[in-house]
Amino acid sequence: MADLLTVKDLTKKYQEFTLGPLSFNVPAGYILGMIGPNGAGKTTTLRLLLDMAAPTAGTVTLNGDTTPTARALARADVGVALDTTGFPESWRVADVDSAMALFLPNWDAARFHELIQLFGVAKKTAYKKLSRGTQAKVNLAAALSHDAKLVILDEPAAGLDPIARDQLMTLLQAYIEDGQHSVILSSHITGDLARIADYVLYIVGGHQLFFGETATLLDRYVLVKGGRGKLTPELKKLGLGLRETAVGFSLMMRTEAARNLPAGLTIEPVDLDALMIYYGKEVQADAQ
Amino acid sequence: MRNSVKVAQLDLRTLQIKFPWWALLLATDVVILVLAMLNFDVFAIIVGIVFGAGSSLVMVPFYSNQQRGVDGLLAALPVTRRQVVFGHYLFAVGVQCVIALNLFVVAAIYSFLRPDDLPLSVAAMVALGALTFFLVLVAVPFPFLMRVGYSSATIGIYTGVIVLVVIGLNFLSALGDNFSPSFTFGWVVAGAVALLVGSVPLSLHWYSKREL
Repeated sequence: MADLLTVKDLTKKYQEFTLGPLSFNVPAGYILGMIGPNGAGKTTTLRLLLDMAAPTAGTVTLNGDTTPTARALARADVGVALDTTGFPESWRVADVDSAMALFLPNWDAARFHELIQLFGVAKKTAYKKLSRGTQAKVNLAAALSHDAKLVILDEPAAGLDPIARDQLMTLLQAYIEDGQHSVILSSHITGDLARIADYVLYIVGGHQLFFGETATLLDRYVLVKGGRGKLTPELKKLGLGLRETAVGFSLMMRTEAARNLPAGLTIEPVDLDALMIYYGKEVQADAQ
Repeated sequence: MRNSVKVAQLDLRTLQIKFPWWALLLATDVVILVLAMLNFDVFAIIVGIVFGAGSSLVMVPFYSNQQRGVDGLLAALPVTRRQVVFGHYLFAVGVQCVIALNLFVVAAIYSFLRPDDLPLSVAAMVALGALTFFLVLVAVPFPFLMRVGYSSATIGIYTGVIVLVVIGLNFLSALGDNFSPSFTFGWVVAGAVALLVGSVPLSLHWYSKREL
């Protein structure tokens, strides 16, 4: 199982923010989901992968290429749709098609128009007049229409309605089915990620908290719930994140810590949303 | 080189208007010629169109980059930053050459129709002068555009350059007969070319450091 992307000790230092060190890899045929709260460093990570910013330390190996110039020239094998990039305002779908064909040898115009059709994008409307969600659809169609080995998507579902989101998730799953293609996507919509991501990279405040299989991450933690009287100081100590209500509490903790709990407590599996809410809040609180 | 040409083509595609640019240029030329033949003073119109168009057209790709993150799009395409810089220069110098050449053709037609009003040698000087002005307009702001992108700061620099060039032209005309016009003109053109060539390494360096 060859890695399409290998990242080792990737670090970027800004005056008020440090990202990393991050280490992760993306094997061919898998989807990596990047999760983390706003400002965690997800977009910065994607920008570093694309050499839009230079790392302070660490290495990025993209399909075997290790230098920025080599990675740039091999970018025909990468499909990109970032939150911050787009197309010139006056362009219509046909203009995007012809411009991409100019640069990308494997550009598949038929596939592009098929996706545009599927997403219901008005072909004659200028890019600037499209809604944010529709602009995102054009970006996605462009990223998925040149048989890129690796597709990098930053918040692709942000402006999409539930139907379009479902279409996108189905498309991405189909895209990697042959075992030759991979996808990296960052998203706040963790329900979508949990559905399709084989691996998860969890970043909070620039720190890598977890990288590995999604199921492994979710198996590590449980949610313990009970009435208010059941929340003892000992139990609090075991918790990684706590939410209290008028009638009870829910506490996230490591699975092994939940093995010998007193009777009367309910143990439930966590999902990515709960993980981000409980764990992310705790880590952020620690950092402040 | 091929990739730089593609970047220049992409820049050209950001200049989209309702009509093809060449049709617009042709229509403007015809209007100017007709007005000139009807003895209207078209000098101000020519200055406005040529200098206005020349200075604003080269900014359009950078404006587009700023508005829609096209720089980021370029970073996602198989081109190096070096090729992007060369592509932007190629586009800008190409556009300026086309405008200067067009100006020469219009002046030459007028000169052919009314040789007493405008000798061909003067028409050529006017076109070359415009091209020189354009080269300075590319040479000075471009490194800043590569460093920080389209912003009010670069617009300030751009305006500053235009003012300086206009002052310089007035200074040269004030020198009058003290200097040979062709000799002085030759130096000005050579200076503009040197400035343009000198700005390329600075643009390459600054764009290589820029975060997109």
